[in-house]
Amino acid sequence: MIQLFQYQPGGLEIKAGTTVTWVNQDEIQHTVTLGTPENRNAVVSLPLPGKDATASFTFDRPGDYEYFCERHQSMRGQIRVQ
Amino acid sequence: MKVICKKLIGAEVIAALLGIHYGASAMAAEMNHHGMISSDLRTGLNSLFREHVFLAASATGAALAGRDGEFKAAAGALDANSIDIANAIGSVYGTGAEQAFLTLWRKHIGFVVDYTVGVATKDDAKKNKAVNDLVQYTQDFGAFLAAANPNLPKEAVADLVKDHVLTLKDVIDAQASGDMNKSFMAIRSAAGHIGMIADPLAAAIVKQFPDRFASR
Repeated sequence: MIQLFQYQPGGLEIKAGTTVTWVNQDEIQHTVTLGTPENRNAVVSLPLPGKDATASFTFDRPGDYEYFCERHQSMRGQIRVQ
Repeated sequence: MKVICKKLIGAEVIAALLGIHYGASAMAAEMNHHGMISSDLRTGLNSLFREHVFLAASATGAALAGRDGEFKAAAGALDANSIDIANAIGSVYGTGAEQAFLTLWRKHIGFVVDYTVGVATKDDAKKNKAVNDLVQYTQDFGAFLAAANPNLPKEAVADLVKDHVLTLKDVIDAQASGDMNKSFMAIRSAAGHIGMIADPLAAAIVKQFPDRFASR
């Protein structure tokens, strides 16, 4: 969930092959963009245009993934894929 | 009169949704119903927001006059005020919201600084970009408060914040003109207007958490 300009929870542990779905509860566009503003993954940037918008991504490969919002770059999240 | 009415619209919408008449006697009755705590909240938020206006005006005035030491001191005090406002938000909505609010609040101060620099350097492109950034910011801020409190509609909050931004713009423009009378009138106007954000915010919080405030 995205609420009050925060990814909730900010950290997540999942197994490889899990699909994560984000639901935007804010009345403003956010994104889930893999990487960091300094080192972004241009390939994966999921828009969530407004309230109740959803976006999903399947994490197939183990590793630690950071993500952020393109419009509000202090919003950060982490996913550990085992 | 049209400008004044327009400025009141946002506060009136929020007041209507809260089921209160935005008038002195009705507001006093609402506050009395919830006792001293709600008035403490309202007074506290007004104090913090007015301090924000006075410190922002101090910073912009110093910057425009080239008083660098004074600007840095005012900017430091302004940031301390921002932290205090965020603490107040966090005391209601938690530390995550506090940090998110602080980041967002600081962002608008950055845009105001950008506008001031644009005015000082007579850079119209920089000024216009800052204004555009501030207009976009009003949507972000409205969305934040709407997410925090169902009694605060996004567009009504955005309209009030837009008016706040415009009152600060008036201060900066007046300071840049060198007209001191105009500058201080604009500062008084900005300080007076920001109560239209503080009052509904306080009332909305009290309505959202009646037990937390009524019990003290």
